[in-house]
This record gives sequence, C-alpha cells and structure tokens, in this order.
Amino acid sequence: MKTRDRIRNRLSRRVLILDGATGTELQARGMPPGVSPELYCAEHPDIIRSVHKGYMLAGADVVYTCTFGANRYKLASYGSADARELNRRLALIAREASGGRAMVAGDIGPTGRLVEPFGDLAFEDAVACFKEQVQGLAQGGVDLFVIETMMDIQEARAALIAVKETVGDAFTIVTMTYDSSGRTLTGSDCVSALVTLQSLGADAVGCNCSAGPAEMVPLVAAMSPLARVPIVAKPNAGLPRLKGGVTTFEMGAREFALAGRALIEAGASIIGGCCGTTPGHIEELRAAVKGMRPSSGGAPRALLLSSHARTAVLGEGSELAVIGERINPTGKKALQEELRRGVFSLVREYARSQVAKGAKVLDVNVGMPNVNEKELLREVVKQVVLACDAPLCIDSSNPEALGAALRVYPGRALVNSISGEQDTLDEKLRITSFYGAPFILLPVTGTSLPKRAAERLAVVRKVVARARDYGFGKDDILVDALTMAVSADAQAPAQTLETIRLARERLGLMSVVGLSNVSFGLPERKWVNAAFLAMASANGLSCAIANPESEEVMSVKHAVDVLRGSDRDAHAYIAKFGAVVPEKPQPRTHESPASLVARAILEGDRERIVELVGMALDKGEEPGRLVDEVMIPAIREVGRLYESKVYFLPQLIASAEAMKLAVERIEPLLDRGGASAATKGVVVLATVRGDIHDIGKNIVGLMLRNNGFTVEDLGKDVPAERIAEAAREKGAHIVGLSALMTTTMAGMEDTVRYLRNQGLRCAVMVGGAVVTGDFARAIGAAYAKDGVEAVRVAESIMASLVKGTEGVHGGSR
Amino acid sequence: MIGVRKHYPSMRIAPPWSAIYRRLGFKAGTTELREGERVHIDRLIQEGIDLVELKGASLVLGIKGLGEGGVLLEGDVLFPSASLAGMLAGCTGALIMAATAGRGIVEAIERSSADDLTRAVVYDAVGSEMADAALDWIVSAVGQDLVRMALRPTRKRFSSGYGDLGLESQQTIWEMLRLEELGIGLTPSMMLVPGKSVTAVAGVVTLA
Repeated sequence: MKTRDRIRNRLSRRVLILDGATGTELQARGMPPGVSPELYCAEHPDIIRSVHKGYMLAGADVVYTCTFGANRYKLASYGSADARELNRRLALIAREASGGRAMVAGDIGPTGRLVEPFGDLAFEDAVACFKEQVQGLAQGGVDLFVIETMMDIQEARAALIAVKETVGDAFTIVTMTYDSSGRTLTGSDCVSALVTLQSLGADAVGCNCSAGPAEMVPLVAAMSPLARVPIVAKPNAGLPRLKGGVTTFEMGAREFALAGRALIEAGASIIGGCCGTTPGHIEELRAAVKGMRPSSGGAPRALLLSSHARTAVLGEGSELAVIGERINPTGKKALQEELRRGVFSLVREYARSQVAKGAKVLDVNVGMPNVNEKELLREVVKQVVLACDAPLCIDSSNPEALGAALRVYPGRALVNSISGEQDTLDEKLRITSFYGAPFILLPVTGTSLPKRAAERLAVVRKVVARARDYGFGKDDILVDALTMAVSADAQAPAQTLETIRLARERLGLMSVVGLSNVSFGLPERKWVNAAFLAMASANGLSCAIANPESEEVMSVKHAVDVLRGSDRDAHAYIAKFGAVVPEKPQPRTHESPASLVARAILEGDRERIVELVGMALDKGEEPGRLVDEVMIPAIREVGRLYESKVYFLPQLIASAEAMKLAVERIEPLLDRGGASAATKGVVVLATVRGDIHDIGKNIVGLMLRNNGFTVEDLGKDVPAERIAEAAREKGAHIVGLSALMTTTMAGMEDTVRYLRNQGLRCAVMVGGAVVTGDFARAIGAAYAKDGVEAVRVAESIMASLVKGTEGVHGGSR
Repeated sequence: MIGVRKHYPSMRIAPPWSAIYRRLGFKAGTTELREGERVHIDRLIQEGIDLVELKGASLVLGIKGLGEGGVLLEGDVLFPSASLAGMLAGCTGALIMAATAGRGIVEAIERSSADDLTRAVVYDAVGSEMADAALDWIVSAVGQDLVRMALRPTRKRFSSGYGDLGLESQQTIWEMLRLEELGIGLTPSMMLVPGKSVTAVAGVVTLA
C-alpha cells in the first residue's frame, strides 16, 4: 500500500497526531538566537535527533523534518546555498531518529518573500525554490510533505505545485497561519484557502501557529462544512505573552490537550502542536483524543470558487449568481486600446464597479486579434486580483492561455469553457484538472451549434463522461445552456430553457447562460434580459453571465433569490430595496429663507446652498445683512461645534465649502452695494521651502476667505524670497506659514528672518502638525493649531493693528 | 532574514477605518453625524482606499554600535540620532522599512483640493493611515520571519524627519531599500514622493 493510501486509511479510523514545536525545543537545548535552525541542526545532529525522538516517544504519528527554513532564499542570508543537500541530510536524520516508528514529513516553510501578484518573487521562481527543497526531502526518504505557516496563499500554491510536479502523488498537508482577525497577513480567510488548496490537490488543509487551540476552534468549524479533505490544526500552547521582553507560552500540557478535544469536535482530523508545545503537550494530547473518531466529512453538493480572500458557493440553495461580463474587449474600443498598450486602469475599474454592483464572480476575457493572449490574460488576471476580491471565471478558447492564467491565479477559478471538440477536449481537461478548476461545459462539437436541447444534452453526456476520467465530479461542471438571439429565432429561448431543465433533472448538473445574447438586435434590451433571467431561473438556472450594472437584471436576481428561498428572510433584498431613501429636506414652511441658508451652512449642503441664497435674495434679504447676520454666525457656530468635537473635519470642510459657494453667489452684489465688501485683512499663505504638504494650509485658506479675509495662496515648497515678494506686492497684513515635518519647521524661522531683513513688518502666523506655540513664540510668530483657530488669531492680529498695539500673539507688523 | 532586502510591490491590508476616522477628528460618543453623512463619508473613504496602491520595503540589519553619536548598523550605515539610539537600546538589530500609498491617491488629493476640499481631506487621511498601516503590516510580516530565529521587531518605531533623526536619513533609507524601484522618489529637500510615503526604523530584540 502506498504511504498516501496508508495515511488515508489510518485517518478513516482515528485521529492522526503530529509533533510539537521544534524551534523552542532547540532553544531549550542551547541553540543561540539569530542562527539558522536548519544549519544548526545539520551541525548538531544529535540535538535534533533528540527532539524528534522526544516527540515520537510522546506518541506523535508524524514528526516534521527540521527544514522549515531550508530554502534558498532564507539560507542565502546565512551564506549557504545548497538547499537540496541540506534538506536531504536533515530528512535522513529524521528518518534515522524515527526508526520507522513514526512517519517523517518533509517540512516546507515560507521563503520570507511574497509571491506575485502580492509580492516581488516571481511565481515560477517560488516553484523552482520549493522544487529544490522537495527533491532533497524526497531523496532523504520522507513519507509525506507538509507545507506550513504560510501567510501568502500564492506561496502555499507554489509549494504545493512544486510537490505535485516533483513527486506526483505524495500525501501533502498544507497549513496557513491566521491572525486574530481570522485572516493571513495577505488577507486570505481560512475557507477560501481551504477551497483553493483542496482543489489544487492538497490531501489535508488547515492552520498552524499564531493562535492557541481555543482560538483555532472557530477556524476549524468554519472550514469543516466545505472540507473535502481532512482538516489539520496545529496550535501554539496558548497565546504568547510578553514578560520582561521575553515571549512565553503559558498553556500547560493538560490544558492544551483538553482544548485539543474541542478541535476534533469542530472537525479536525489531524492535530499537533506549534510554538511553545513540548513532547509533554503531545503526550497529553494523544491521551486526551484517544478513541475520538475523525469527522467523516460530507461536504454539501455545491460548486466552490475562491479568490485569495473570498469564497463563492454556487448550486442548489445558493443565490442566483451573476458572473460579471464587462472585462471583455469585444465591442469596447477604449478597453482594446488600453490592453494593447499594456495599461489596465479600465480593467481595474470594471472589476471594482461590477463587484460593487453585486457580481459574485468576474469573467475575464482578453480575446482580440494580434495580441499574445497567454501573456495578456495572465497579466489581466493579476491586475484583477489586485483590484478586487471576487473569484474569477477565466474565459479563453486557447488552452495555453488558460493554463498560464490558472497557474498564477491565487484561488480556484472557473474555466470558460470546455466544449466537446475532440481537438482540444483532452488538453483542456488535463490543464483544468491539474489546477483543480471547475469548468463551463459548452455543448458544441464543431462549428455549428446544436439547436435542440436533446442534441445539446448528448454532447454534455459525452464531455461529462470524459471529464470523469480526469477526476471531475458533477459539482465541477456548469452546463452552458446556449442562449441565442430571440430576434433571429423565436424558438431559441425555449430550447435554452429546456436545456437548463434537462441538465438539472436528467444529469444533476448546474447551468449557466450568457444572458444578453437573448436580446441581441432588440431595442431596450434590459427588459428582455431581465424577463429571460426570471424564466431561466424558474427552470433551475444556477448563474448568469451578465452585466451587473443593469439595474433591471440585478433587481430580478434579488427577487429570484427571495422567491426560491436562497435569500433567507429576504435579508439581501431588504438591504437593497428596504432602506428608506431620505428625501432632500424640503423648506419648512415656518423657516425663513435666511434660516434655510444658515441651516445649509451648518449642514454643509453644497448642493442646495446657492439655490437657497438665491431664494433669500428673491425674498428681499439685503446681501450685506445675509452675510453678516446669517452666514457668518452660521459658520462661526460650525467652528464652535468643531472645536467641541461635535463636528469632525469632513463636516467642518463641507460647511466651509457651502459657505464659500454662498459668498461667491453674493459677492458681486456686495460690490455693488458696498456693504460688508471690505476685506478684513490680506493674508499671504504658503507651505515653506522643502515641504510638500499643503492640505492643512488649504483648509486655513478656505476658513479665512469664508471669514472675510483676502487670501493669496502661494502653494507648497515656497522659498522665502517669493513669500516676501508676494507680501510686499499684496500689502499683506499677515503671512501664514505651514510645515508638517520637524525638519522643515526650520524653514519657518528662515522665512521670518528673511521677511524682517527685507523690512517687512507684517505679522506672521504659523501652523502644522509638529508646530507648537512655544516654537511660534521663539521665532516671533503667532500660532494657530487649525483652520478655526487661524481665523480667531487672524482677527485678533487685525484688531491689534487697528488699535495700533503690535505684537499680539507674537505677531508684529 | 537579516541583511535581506525585501520589496512588497502590491500589499493588501485591511483598511484601518477607525484610524482614518480618528485622524479626521472623529470622537466616539461626542461627534454627531446626521442621517446620510456617515454613508457619504464611508463612500469617500472607500473611494480613497480604492485609489491607494500600497507598496513597501524592508531590511533587517544588525546593530554594531549605539551611543550619543547615533546608531551604527551592519554595512557601516550610520543614523546620527541620539533619540533613535535611545529607542534601540537593548536591541540586537534594526528593521528599516518604507511604505507608500502610491501616486493615484496623491494625484486625487491634489485634483480635489481645488474644488472639493472635503473629498481631499478624506483622501488625505486615507493615504496617511494606509501608509502607516502598511508599516504595521511590514512589522508583522518581518516578525513572522524573525520568530524562528528567536527574534522579534519592536512595536515602537521612529521616522525620518521627527526628533533628531534628520530628513537626510531618508536618503540613506531610500538608497538602502532601493525605493526608486518601487516608484518612490526623493526631492532635493529629502522629501519622499509620492507624498503619502513614509520611512521608519524599528528595533529587533531577542526573544529569549
């Protein structure tokens, strides 16, 4: 019996026990910090031998080789390069220590680099690196492989592919490490990782490190319902505690073992220990779970898709899924041009907008003449992965392009499509099966499309039978029911509906339609599309390739989900349609137009302020009075609310922008009337030389303008010479200077000195994240901590100027 | 992993929503949002997040010397900062890192500043907090590598341009991390461009 079958056989009877921590055991035996444990063990074989023996005697069924970091990238930092030989040697040591009483797992850990598309390590370089390790471990005679502590799903995939392509059918465990949010550092959740890895060929999937057994129970419970392989849990001895700068794990062996029982009850079949665990923990664990039977699995019938961070479940009981169709250059000139130039902004935009509109899966097609489809499809897939979390449907008739895209896709993608054409059937099935991807079955065999449903079903039967030889089950196939234009053949929709029904009733297969084909050639196609979606759904349709930006299509989809029970208690429907749309506040009959203007400023209503000011003026409000007695008190109230933190910055700015629009509306009238038209003072604003931050300065400018000051904004990184020139030219009463960094604050002092040397006596007001009142005083300037205070300080300066008392707030003129 | 420079060209992190709100001055229990305001601001934040393209870099170096004159690292890299030396007291190494929120968000802030300052201030907060959260992410990622060597990075970190760690140190970090390869430039006044880019130094301590 092969080792793989032997392990599976054992798992059908009892829980498999893995070993515990290696690093902390080595440290306890004297390994100094900062060294490579792998090189240390190669130099001290007796020490690692004693660790392995300790776990074996404690009852571990499997001991891990000490090769977690024995890859070329990690070894390079220690000046060692022969990863293959080191792995072989350490595997031999483990085999020798086990003496055949425990199985030896070749341990593969992360490279420490992130793999594309999330990192800078090329996918094929990662695969090559892991192959080196796999070859060495295989030469050393390991029984199985374990890929562990992975935080990047793409790296885990690269390692698994390396095992598959090197040794073929070795039993392989893959465990990821999740933080307290239940995600890896690159954002993968445990269910998506499970779907991705089990379909790619992992024999067992789970989690290790980062958490104690109690924290791992929810992860195991989340994976269990969709697991088609045994679940693994290898927790730390509780959560780490930092004591006097030293990390410790405090969970005792007995407590750990009892918590281990909860992991089995949640669905784990393979358990062991990670950081902080000892042979004592494993011995207690083995005793505690003795007699417990592993979960028998039994995942529900469903087609599972995953991205690196999201899972989509298609099938009976699931929602009618919409596969977004927009990433397809056919008929889209702008997209074609971008793709030809290697620009992907539209691709990313289409990806994000379709997901925002409710697409569950995104179709990706780059088919157009005179492009390298293999290269382009692979690149577009990577771009979409970076833009959104939706699982993908990779759409190409080119087997080579499909293979290239599936290889770099960090999830389980749907393939669109495989037809009955003999020329490509086996090649496409082989590629798709290697990556564990489900596919859309296109029931055509040649250039002509079978018109009748019965003919289509015959092709489906043939392809399904062939796919079975490659390991595909019914849950890996979606039948394309072939949607044709009703404008060309009035009977076509009926045959599509019949195909959906027959595929489901006679073959137990799920189906998909390319929805918009049905309305081709008709005006107002959205109505035909929406109606056809409802009809197809009634016949058992699982998903539709459609434009999720069609409100009609998505509304019908939501209604269908309620009516066929997949949207329980109509939660999603109510979330979409049930929210009360707040009406724009209508003028209250008892509110005067002036009061409405004040309220619009208080509420930052930039949409209506100009109209309301117009209304007030029409009703005879005098412009000067409107400014002085309505608008300025309103904006001052906003400032008060901001300073008491009832308002926060976006509200302050929205109100200030509403005020600005109102002032712009009234200003020409003020000029004519003369009232309130005079400026309160002239302020020259600038971010000092060397500093490129100016958002705070822009806020100050807006607030000052709103309060009647004339502001000349010179921008950012402005030299003292230019500030002095503008101050002289504009007759500035105040120069306002901004700086964000400690180091650029020096530029403020330089500027003040330069102004004085030039004989300019205007006041200077400073502000910025690190600027303080003390600093301001020291350089002879006034200080304002924000835009609201800047108005107050500027008014104070102007008042002192009027009184002829210089030096208020340190300012002088 | 000591001495190995790493680039993270497409970082994915959980957006720090609470930190973004805090940066904008939101105070739970005090700040009041009218109906629809929260939805609007959340939408602006999400737009900002969509514009961010996080990239980062890290490098761990052993410490050769600490003192009043600053910090001397392996490769004879000198940071002349007594404050940084104080922070690194007791550390065996230093984690040098950088992160950028990318050009897209900075250009959007500049575009919005002219006619939609509300949007600009929200984008500004998003860019700053995303870059800062990216540094947290780098600390965690490097920490996962270091733990096997019984080492871990410190939570405290120090950035160029603050205290006595002059902006000139930004050039040292920029060169060491080869930030130009990530599209991060350096102005003659030692400011990083795009604007929402940060550098920092954390310590590396021995676990046991």
